[in-house]
Amino acid sequence: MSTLLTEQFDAAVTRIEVSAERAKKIQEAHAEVRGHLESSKKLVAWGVDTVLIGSYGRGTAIHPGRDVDVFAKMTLLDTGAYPDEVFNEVVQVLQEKYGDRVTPGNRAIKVAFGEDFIVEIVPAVRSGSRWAIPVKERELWRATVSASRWLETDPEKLTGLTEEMNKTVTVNGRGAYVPTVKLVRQTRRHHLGREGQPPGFYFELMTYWAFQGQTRTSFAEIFSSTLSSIADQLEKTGSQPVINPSMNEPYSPVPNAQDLASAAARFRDLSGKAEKALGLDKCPAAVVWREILGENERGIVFPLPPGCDETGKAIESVTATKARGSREARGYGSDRHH
Amino acid sequence: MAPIATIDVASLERFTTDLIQAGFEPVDPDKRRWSGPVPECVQGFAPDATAMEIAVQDGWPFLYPKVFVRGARGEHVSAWGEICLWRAGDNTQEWLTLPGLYARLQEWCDRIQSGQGFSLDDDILDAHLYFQTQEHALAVFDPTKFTAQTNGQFDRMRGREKHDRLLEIEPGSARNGELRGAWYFRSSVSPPPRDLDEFRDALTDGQRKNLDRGIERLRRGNSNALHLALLIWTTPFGRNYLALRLRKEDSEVAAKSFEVAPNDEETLSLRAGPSAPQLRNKRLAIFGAGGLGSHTSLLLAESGIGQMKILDAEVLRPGNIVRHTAGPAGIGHYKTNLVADMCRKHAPWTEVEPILESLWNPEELEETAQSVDMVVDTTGLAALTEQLSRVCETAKIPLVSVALFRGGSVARVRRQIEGDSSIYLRGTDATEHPVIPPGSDEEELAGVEAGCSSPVANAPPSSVVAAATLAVQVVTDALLAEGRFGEEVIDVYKPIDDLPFNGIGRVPDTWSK
Repeated sequence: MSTLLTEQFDAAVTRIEVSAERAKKIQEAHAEVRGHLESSKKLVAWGVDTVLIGSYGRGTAIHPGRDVDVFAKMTLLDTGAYPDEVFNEVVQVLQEKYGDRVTPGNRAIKVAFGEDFIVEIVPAVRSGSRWAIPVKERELWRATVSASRWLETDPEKLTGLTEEMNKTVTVNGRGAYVPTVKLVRQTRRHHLGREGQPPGFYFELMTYWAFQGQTRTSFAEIFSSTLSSIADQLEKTGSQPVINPSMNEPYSPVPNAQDLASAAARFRDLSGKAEKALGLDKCPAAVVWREILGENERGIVFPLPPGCDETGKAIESVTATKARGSREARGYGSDRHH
Repeated sequence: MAPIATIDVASLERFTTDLIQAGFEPVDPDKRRWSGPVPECVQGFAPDATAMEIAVQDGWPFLYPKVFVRGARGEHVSAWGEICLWRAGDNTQEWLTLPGLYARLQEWCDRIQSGQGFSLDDDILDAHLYFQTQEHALAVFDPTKFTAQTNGQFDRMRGREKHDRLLEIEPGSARNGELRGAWYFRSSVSPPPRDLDEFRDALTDGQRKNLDRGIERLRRGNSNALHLALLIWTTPFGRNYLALRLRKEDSEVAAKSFEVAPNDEETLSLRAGPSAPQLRNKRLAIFGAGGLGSHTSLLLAESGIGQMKILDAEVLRPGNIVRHTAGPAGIGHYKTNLVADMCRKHAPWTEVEPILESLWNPEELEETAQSVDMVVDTTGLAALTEQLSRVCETAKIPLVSVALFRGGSVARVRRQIEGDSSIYLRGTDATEHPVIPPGSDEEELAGVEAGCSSPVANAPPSSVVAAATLAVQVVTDALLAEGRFGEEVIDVYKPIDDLPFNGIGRVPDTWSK
C-alpha cells in the first residue's frame, strides 16, 4: 500500500515557499535597481537590460530566500569589452544610489535591502547566442584574449528548461518539477546546512536529471524517486559529473570529494527512508517525511495529518473541521477576563 | 518561552500553514506570534497599523488565538490592541482555520460599523481593559449608592485599600486613612478612555476643572489631592464604570485602571439561580446546624430564601470542621451563630435568626412551625423527626427531613406536605417506600465524642454535601410547588448489599420488594 499524503505534501510546499509579500518585495527591489541602472547614460548606451535569474528567476527559491540574483545584460556589448569597465560603471551607479549598502564582490555587486534580502547584480555581455560574465580572477580582466576575461553562461536558458520541465511532469494538473526542486532544496538545507556543500543549485541540477523519464504521479513517489536518483548522482559524480543542461557542460567548480561523499551517504539514507515511507500507514509515514524535510524558520515543514501524533501513532482527532456547538449556548464559564 | 503546548499538533500545523499562505511569518523563535497583513475590514479601525499579529496560546485548539492590531480602536479592543473575539471557555473552535478566524473578525467589523455592538449580551464592565495601564486590583462598590442622573454631575468619593488587590469605594468625603476621590457622571462615553488625557476629554468643563484641580494638588503634594477618579456613564445595556488610581510619579501624575466589581444585592444574587426571586418571600425553620444543617442552610440562603430560623444548641468542636461550613476560627462558638454569620456574608438578602436551643417542647415546636412556611429537619435524630412530623401535621406546615445512613452511603429526604403520607407513619411498610436496614456499628459510626453517648456518624464530607444539596432541591421544589419530587427521595452514593440500595443512583419511587 502506498501512502501518498497528498494534502500534506501540498502544505509542505506552501511552508517552504517564499511568501507572496516577499516575492512582491523582490520584484519591487529588482525594478528599483533596474531603474537606477537605466539612469546611467553609459549603461543605456551599452543597452542595459536586467532580468531576475537564479532561484527567483526560475521560481525555485525557498524560504527565507535572502539571495536575489539579477542579470544585468549589456545587450550592445560583447566579449570584446573589458570586464573592469563594465563592472566599475555598474558599481559606481549603484553606489551613487545606495552608498554603503553596496558591496562589490569578485564579479558581482551586492546591494543589501535591510535584513530582508540581498540583491546580487552580475553584469554580462553577449557571447554569440549566449552571455558571458566576468571571470572571478580580477587580474585576467585586462587579458588580451577575450575568453580569458569572460566566462560563458546562459541562465535564461535554464529558466526556460525549468518552465518546460514543469509542464512535462504534473501532479493533479499542477507542475511537479518546481515544487520538487523546492522540496529537495529544503532537504539539502536541513541536512547539510545553509552553507553546506554541494550548494542548492547543484542539487537543483541533479533534480533536473532525476526528472528525465519521470512517470510517477504523486509528490510522495516523485520525491522519493528523486532522492534516490540524487543519491546515485552524488555517488557517481567522480566518474559522471553533473551537467548543467543550459550549457551542456559539467557543473563547475566540482564540489570536493569529501563533501560529495558525505552528501551521498546522507541522501542514500534519506532515500531509503523515503522508499520505506511509501509503504507505511499515514501516521508513521508522516513522521518519516517530517524527518526528511526537517524544519525552517516557520517550523516543521511536513505537517501531521489529522488523527496522528508526533510519534506516528493514530489518535482520536481532537478537532472537527466545522464549528462545534452553538455560539449562543455558552457554558457556565462566561467570565469576562480575556 | 517554549514551543506551544498542544495535544493536537496536526490542527496547529494546518492553521500555521493557513497563516503562511496568507503572508504571515513567525516573529519569535517558538512560533507563538505570527505577523501578517491587516485584513481590509480592520484597516478602518486601525488606519496606521502596518501588521496584524496572531498569537497562538498553550492549550490550542481548546483556547483561541489572540489577535492584535496596534492602534486599533473600537469595541472589544484593549488598550494594547487586542481584539477580543471570543470569551474564555468558548468551544466553537471557529479559529481552527484562518478563514474561520477571518469570518469572526469580519463579523466584529460588521457589527461595530453597523452600531449593533459585537454581542448583544456583552459584559459592560470591561472599561479597565481599554485603559493603557492597569492596577491589577478590584474596585468594589455598590452602584446603587452612586445615584447620579444628570449629565455633568460630580461629587466626592472615598476609598479604602483593604489589601493590595482590593479597594472599596463609596460616595462621600474621605475620612482618616482613606483615599480622597471624585466621581463623574456622563450620559454617554464612547469609546472608553484609554489614558488620562482621554479621561479628561470625556468630562464636561466643570468636571474637568474639578479633576485638574485635584491632580494639580497631587502633583504638588498637597493634602487634599485626588487619588481616585470614577467615571460613570450609561450604555444601552446598563451603566459602565472606569475607576482610576492616581499617583504622583516623579513630577507627573500617572493613572491606572481598576477592574470594577459591583457588590450590590443584584450583583450578589446574579448567580443565585432563576428561582431566587420567588424564594425571597419564603420563611424556613431549620432544625440542626451541624454538618448537614450548615450546608443545607447556606445553600438555601444562597438560593434566595428570605428568612431563616436556625435551631441548635451545640458549639463547634475541632472534629466538626471537616464536614461543617465553619472553619477553625469558629471553634467554641454556637453552631447556629456561625451558620447565621456565614449565611449573611454569602446571602445578605436572607434574614437569619439563630436560636441557641434544641426545642423538644411541642408547644414551642408548633409555635415555631406556624411562624414559617416550611420546617426543615437536618438533625438526623429519629425521635425529633417523629415529633416534628406530628407537630407539623397538626399545624399544617410542610416539613422536609434529611438524613444520612449506612456511613453516608445512603441519603434520604422525606417530605410531608398536603397529600403526602405522614413521615411518622412511614418506615414500617416496605411496600410503600424502601426501608434502609441498619448496618454494623463499624459501618455506621466513626467514634464517640463528649456528651452522653454521642456517636459520630461515619459519613464522609462528600455525602454530607450531596445530601444537603438534595434536601435543598426537595425544599425549593416544594416551596415553589413544582412537583418534580415524590414524598421520599433516596440516593445511594456507595452501594450496600441490601436491595434496592445495591447500585449507585436514585432509588426508584415505585420500588417494591
